[in-house]
Amino acid sequence: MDLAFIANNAPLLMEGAAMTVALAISALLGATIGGGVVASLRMSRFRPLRYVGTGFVELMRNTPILVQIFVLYFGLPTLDVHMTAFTPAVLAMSLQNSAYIGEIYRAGLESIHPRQREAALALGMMPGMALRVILLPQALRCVLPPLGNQFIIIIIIIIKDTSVASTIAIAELTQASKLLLDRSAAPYETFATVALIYLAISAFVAGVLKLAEWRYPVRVS
Amino acid sequence: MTAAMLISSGLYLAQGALVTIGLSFGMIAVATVAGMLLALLRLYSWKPLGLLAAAYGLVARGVPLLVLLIGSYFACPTWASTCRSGWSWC
Repeated sequence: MDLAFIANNAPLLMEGAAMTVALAISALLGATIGGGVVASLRMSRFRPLRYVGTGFVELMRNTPILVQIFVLYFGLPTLDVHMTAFTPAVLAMSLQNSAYIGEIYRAGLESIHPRQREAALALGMMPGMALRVILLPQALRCVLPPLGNQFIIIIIIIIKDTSVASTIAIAELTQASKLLLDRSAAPYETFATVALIYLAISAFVAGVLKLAEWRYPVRVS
Repeated sequence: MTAAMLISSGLYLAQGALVTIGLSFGMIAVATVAGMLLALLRLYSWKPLGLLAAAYGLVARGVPLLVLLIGSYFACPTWASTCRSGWSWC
């Protein structure tokens, strides 16, 4: 065991971990917003829009994240769109996970009986108001606990997927570990440490969310 | 031009797809059996073994696949002197 080696290179690993967290947070933000767009497309009144939504979800869920990142990273420059490596990585992860998160939103909204919406419209509410006042509160109350668990799983998947960004030369945790591997011959120490850092990040996120769930329980009335 | 390139490299891509399918089936087979084994260990075995299985599950699910892949690939040569990538590594 060469723990001094890890201690000496701790700053590099910490910088990598910071980049991993930055990637994950950006992708999660993008996916949370994009999920709303996906859900509204899939639940649209217009058939072509629904087809677009379904096509997008199927495309995103059935292609590997690595392929998506490569398509954006190597494909966008051929369309004369130039950007740093960070953007295609975040974009690909946002797009893929907005498909998953959009399906979560949709499942929540569709669990409310359609007559609730019909009744709201019959009382003279605009569709937007019915969504805001009648549908969303009920959807949030009834489906938040099971969907919350799915959401935690998606966040952990995003954290793990950030490792794929190392293939387009983003200096995140996996990239840092590859660098350390090239500098030394200490694969065990390096990868055990990196695995522990990933576990710590995931455990922290899951712990915080569980705490939030316990501290602010969802009232099912 | 790109389409012509795709057609000419189609055979190559098809070979890659075959490897993908083969790997997938192999992994599904191994994972199904190993998953059953882990579940049995956690439920019905000697308690320390069950905890070990639980810890394995935590690590395997919490660490990115890429890290597991690179880690095991590079840690192997220090284990055994002969190490090949492919079906029979280590």
